[in-house]
Amino acid sequence: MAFLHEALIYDNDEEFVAALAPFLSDGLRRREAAVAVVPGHHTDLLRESLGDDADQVAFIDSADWYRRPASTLAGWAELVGDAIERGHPSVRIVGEVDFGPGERHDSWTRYESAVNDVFATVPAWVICPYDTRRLPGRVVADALLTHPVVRAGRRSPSELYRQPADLLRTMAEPLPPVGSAPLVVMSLTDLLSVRRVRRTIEAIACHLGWGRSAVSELLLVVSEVALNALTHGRGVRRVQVWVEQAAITCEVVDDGDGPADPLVGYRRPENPRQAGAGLWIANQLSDWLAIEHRDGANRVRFRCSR
Amino acid sequence: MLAVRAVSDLTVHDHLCFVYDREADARQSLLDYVVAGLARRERVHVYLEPGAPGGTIEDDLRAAGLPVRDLVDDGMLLVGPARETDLASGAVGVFAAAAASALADGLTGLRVYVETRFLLDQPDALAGWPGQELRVDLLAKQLPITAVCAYDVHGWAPGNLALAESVHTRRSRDRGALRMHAGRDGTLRLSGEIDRSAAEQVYRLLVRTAGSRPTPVLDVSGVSFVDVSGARSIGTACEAIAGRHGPTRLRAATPLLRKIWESATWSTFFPSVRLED
Repeated sequence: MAFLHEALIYDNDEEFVAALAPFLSDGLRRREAAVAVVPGHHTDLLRESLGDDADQVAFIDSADWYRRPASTLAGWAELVGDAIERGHPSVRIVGEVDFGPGERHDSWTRYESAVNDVFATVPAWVICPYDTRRLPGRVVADALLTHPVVRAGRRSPSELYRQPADLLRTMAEPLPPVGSAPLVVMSLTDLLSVRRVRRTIEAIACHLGWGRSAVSELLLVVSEVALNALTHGRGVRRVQVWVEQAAITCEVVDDGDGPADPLVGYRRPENPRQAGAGLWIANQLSDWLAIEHRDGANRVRFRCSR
Repeated sequence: MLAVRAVSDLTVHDHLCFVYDREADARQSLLDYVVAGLARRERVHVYLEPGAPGGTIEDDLRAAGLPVRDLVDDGMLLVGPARETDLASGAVGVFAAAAASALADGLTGLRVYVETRFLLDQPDALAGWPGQELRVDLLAKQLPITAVCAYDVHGWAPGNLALAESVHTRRSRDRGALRMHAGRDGTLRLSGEIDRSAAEQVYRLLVRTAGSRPTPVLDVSGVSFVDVSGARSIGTACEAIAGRHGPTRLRAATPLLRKIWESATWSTFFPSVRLED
């Protein structure tokens, strides 16, 4: 079975259930695994409609699942992989993306686009419900760009669908917003300077009372992004650090061109020796990571929270 | 100054990598070390190299008021050539025998000083030296031995010196740096920061000491930081040695190392590495 990725545009609960309960049940008839990642009240709706079939569906609260786009992709890969290992021929998924605050809407739209590439060969049929009562018009409209098939009353190909590489090049990941001046500005010149940057940021995080685990993850993200700038960037490399109540935002700037592949950081490296492993793990561990190339500068800004 | 203080801090079971850049420091450190050992009723063996610091140790001891002739005749002090003793390939045997003899004679243990310049013109011995040091490190934990290995920073190539420092329990420079030593139970313990700048050193360390590892267990609980390059170097080294030395059991991997390892199914590419609690 080839990968199918559809958007369901709905504006009432009856439409939601009418489309998705039979979708899941039909999959169970075919011995496919069934997963529903939806808000709590939709879990109740689906359970009621599915009846006895509900016990065979794995329900996950969307607020818990959709935390970080990159780690959500990794989570899907693991979930589908486990189902295939258990002997299911494919997986049916209802994935209602929690788009979060307005500043992250584009991040999750990019995620929806990346899904088409990352899982292109995975045996899964995914329907992503979009509630027009709850989501901004622009987010719903973007669903037609990110899903090859749309169900809005009837099921049909989306004429507005865009290939992921194309969309990701034009829809930039928004930069995590920062306050005024950075607390720290340091130069990156060589590998030892990366250690110095880590020491400084570690001191800041520890002074703020961050736990050891959160500090370690922050330092790993800092290291990988800084090393990328040293390895692949050009010119003057600089690190800036902003500190907030519960989060630290760092930015690494260089004069290079940035990554050529717009999907870097979304695709899990096939081989640990392969390029991109560092950016992959940085994406997994940071709450928000954005790469911007503008005015001759490549900027990687990321935020980690305690 | 730090080097001199490190030597005076030593106690039984310590194995110090003493890196010196001034001959006067080495000479003073050796004198302090020998006097401390004699005061503790340890048998003291000093292995030197012509032209290297320490050649005046017997004169320095006399100047300090010690009866050098009596000490040598009584077997409390031995000063000899490192090059002509079988240290390059059999340091463990030499030291084990000397420690046993000291204990049998009612002394508290053995104190050893080795000037390592003798290795610099012997490529094969140099290549195998990290493995010898690892064995000595384990021996020093198991027997009442105190060991100082002296390294001339001007003579040793930085990469080889870094490897040598890594396999000592104590070192006279940069305590936060990478190290690997053997616990009393034979478990190898890797500690420090394993990042891009240390990755090649970690690879060389694991490969060059593979033949000397007492067990296949590599405890990494002391790794204070690891990045993708560092984790990759561990995996690649373990795969490189697996053919001759079998798989490696990576014990007590930190949460960060586990995250890296499990984030991209590294176990598929490094099947000779088994993570365990």
